[in-house]
Amino acid sequence: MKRDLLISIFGGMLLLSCTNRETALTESQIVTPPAGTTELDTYINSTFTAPYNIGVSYTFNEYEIDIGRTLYPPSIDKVRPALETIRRLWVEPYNAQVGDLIRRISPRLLVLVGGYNYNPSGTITLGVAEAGVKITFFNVNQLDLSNSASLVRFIQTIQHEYTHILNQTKPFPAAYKQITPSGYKSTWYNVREADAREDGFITPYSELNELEDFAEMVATMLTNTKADFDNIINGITSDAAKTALRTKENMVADYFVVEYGIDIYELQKAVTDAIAEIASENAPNPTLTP
Amino acid sequence: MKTRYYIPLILIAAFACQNRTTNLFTETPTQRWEDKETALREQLIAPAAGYKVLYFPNNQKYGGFLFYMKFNTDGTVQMTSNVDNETAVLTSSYEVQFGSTVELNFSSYNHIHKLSDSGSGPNIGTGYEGNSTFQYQRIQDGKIYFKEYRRNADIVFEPVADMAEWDTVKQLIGNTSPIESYIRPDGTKSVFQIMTVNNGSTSEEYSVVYDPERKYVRLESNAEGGSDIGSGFGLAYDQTGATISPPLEIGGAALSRFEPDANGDLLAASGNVSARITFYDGLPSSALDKTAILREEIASGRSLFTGVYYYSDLNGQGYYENNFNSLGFNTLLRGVRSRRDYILFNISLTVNPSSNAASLSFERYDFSSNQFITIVYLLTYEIKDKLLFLTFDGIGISGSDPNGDQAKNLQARFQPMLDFFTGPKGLYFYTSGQSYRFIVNRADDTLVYDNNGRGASYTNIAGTLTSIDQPTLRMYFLFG
Repeated sequence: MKRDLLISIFGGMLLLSCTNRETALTESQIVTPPAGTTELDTYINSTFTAPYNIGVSYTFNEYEIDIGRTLYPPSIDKVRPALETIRRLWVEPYNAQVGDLIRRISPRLLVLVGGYNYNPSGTITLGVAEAGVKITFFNVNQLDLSNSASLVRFIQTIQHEYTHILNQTKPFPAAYKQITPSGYKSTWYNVREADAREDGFITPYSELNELEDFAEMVATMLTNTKADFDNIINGITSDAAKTALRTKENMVADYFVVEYGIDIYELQKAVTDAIAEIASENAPNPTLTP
Repeated sequence: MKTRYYIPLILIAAFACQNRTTNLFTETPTQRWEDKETALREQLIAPAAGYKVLYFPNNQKYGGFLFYMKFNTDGTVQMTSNVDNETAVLTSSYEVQFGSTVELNFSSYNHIHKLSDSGSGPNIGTGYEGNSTFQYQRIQDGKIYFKEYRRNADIVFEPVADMAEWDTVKQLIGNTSPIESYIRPDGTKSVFQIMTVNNGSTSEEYSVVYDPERKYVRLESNAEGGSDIGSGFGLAYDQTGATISPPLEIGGAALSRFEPDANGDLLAASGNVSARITFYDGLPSSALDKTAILREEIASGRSLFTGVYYYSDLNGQGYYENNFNSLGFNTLLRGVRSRRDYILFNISLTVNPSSNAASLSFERYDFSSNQFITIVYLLTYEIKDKLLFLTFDGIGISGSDPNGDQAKNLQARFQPMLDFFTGPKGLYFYTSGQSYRFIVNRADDTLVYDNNGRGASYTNIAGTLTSIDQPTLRMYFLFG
């Protein structure tokens, strides 16, 4: 009897000891910043986010960039012109070829950085793509819309990086690597452009590996008119290099047709026409003197 | 089971869930974060005339820059600074955000980002190594204290009483002011400088090497067992003095400000503790003995070489005028570098490691013959007591001056340069072991960069020779 009583008391205490006396959860106390409501934010939402599911980060967020580099955000007044350049030289030309390609396959985030991104080797990184999800554009503050060369430098980033994303979705043939197999090297930055071309590479950076080679071919084709691109190839002395680069060009063109149904020469014309248009629209007005 | 076994169990059960924890905080962690954030937001917008901020982006390398900034409730901040001559007030955005703690982030471009511009400043590639995200520490007496964690910089936002004070930046552009003349040697002052530190009972002497480009003082002590007062400090000038960072820790006092005194020196003092920076005629006893490195380089067969002109620029516009030369030496150089009949391209001092013979060569482009002609003067040398002694020993010859006629004819013109090298009190050799870098100025003082956008630089060891006879003259060179 006594034993039963003790067991009852003990059991009851155990049962009651863990009564939930905590107060119920209330509204979250974490303050989340409101969504951007500026004219620029509205533009970004209507031009990139809503139609293509692409976010744009233009304010300084050190968690989005390489913390080991010395970088700064773009001036606010430089952001929309840079994004318009991206829209007109990347989104629209691809859309004209395949209506839903950018919506289906594109980076999810564009990050804009104001200044130059210097590497320890002394070279400057124009842009970085991370896992096909994020593309970072550097030196946005230095973008000169009236200067075709500046536009080309800027847009080369996304043409190059978007090629990587396309390649990650549908790889290009392994035979591409065999066109100039012995020319790839990690010290590409010591190579002059003219020397790279004489070795069958369109730029020094092409010499890093076949992935960069392919992306550099696309970026160069899409930032030069057909005539200018032909002039580059025809200006090379080495016949072997010319043949190698024409072979690469053909493989790039075939890849775009076969995998995505894109005529790269039409795409090339659309991009280079737009570069000329933007430069012309932003050309400084001549000052008239009486 | 006996009853006595149940009693401890009952006691354990009875006391098991008693709440004996102590609440250190009355609010939840989230509330405390939010309170910190709110306090910072409210304090930022409190002063109507904004804040004065002195920011040393890396006080192990550079001086500091002055900012004025006013924060607004709409998330914008107005700012000006003395980083460069563009002092117009700019408006940009700021955010108070959660990071590893509550942070102030200057989220769009403004003056403060000039210190994060790797394409400008003294080091192309890193700029001034500045940051634009600061960690909030505390508010005290209306001041806001922040920490920049990459360089461990302390930043204090001090409320400003009147916005008229913002115009101060225009008198201090590029972190310069008339006060700098008290530490920056001009063509008439000795390049030897010392800092005498008095801790209230004893004095110690440190050699001062001032870098006018970085606004930074490097300190060196030759004294055995000398006090460790740090390797140097950056300066931020204003109209009456200079604030330094890190402060000098001497005798329990922290000296953070130098001001000119009646002797024309820069003085920092607190109670009976002081530090005084003085120009010093003659070789300071604290000057380090670097002659072992000089002997080593000579033994390796290297000459002491300094460039004057670009080879590629024969029109007389592209001369090197190096900020590491003293102003006095650059003045001396101007006297011999460009004449109607020649341009001086470089100077080299070659020393024979196995004898006491040396030679001094001046490579000139001669306009009458349109060729490079090297004239040579023979010397003898001796290295002792931290110094290099050179003695004139006659006219030498070269392939382009096989009989030494040119050297003879031009000796009078080059005599000031010969006097610099052969002063009887000797030349003080110094090197920090750093690589050689041309700070290239054209006549208008603008920087000239190479094709990669960088100032010309080499990995060779660089050094200086300073005349003890004429301590206004210091030549910068590389071993090559």
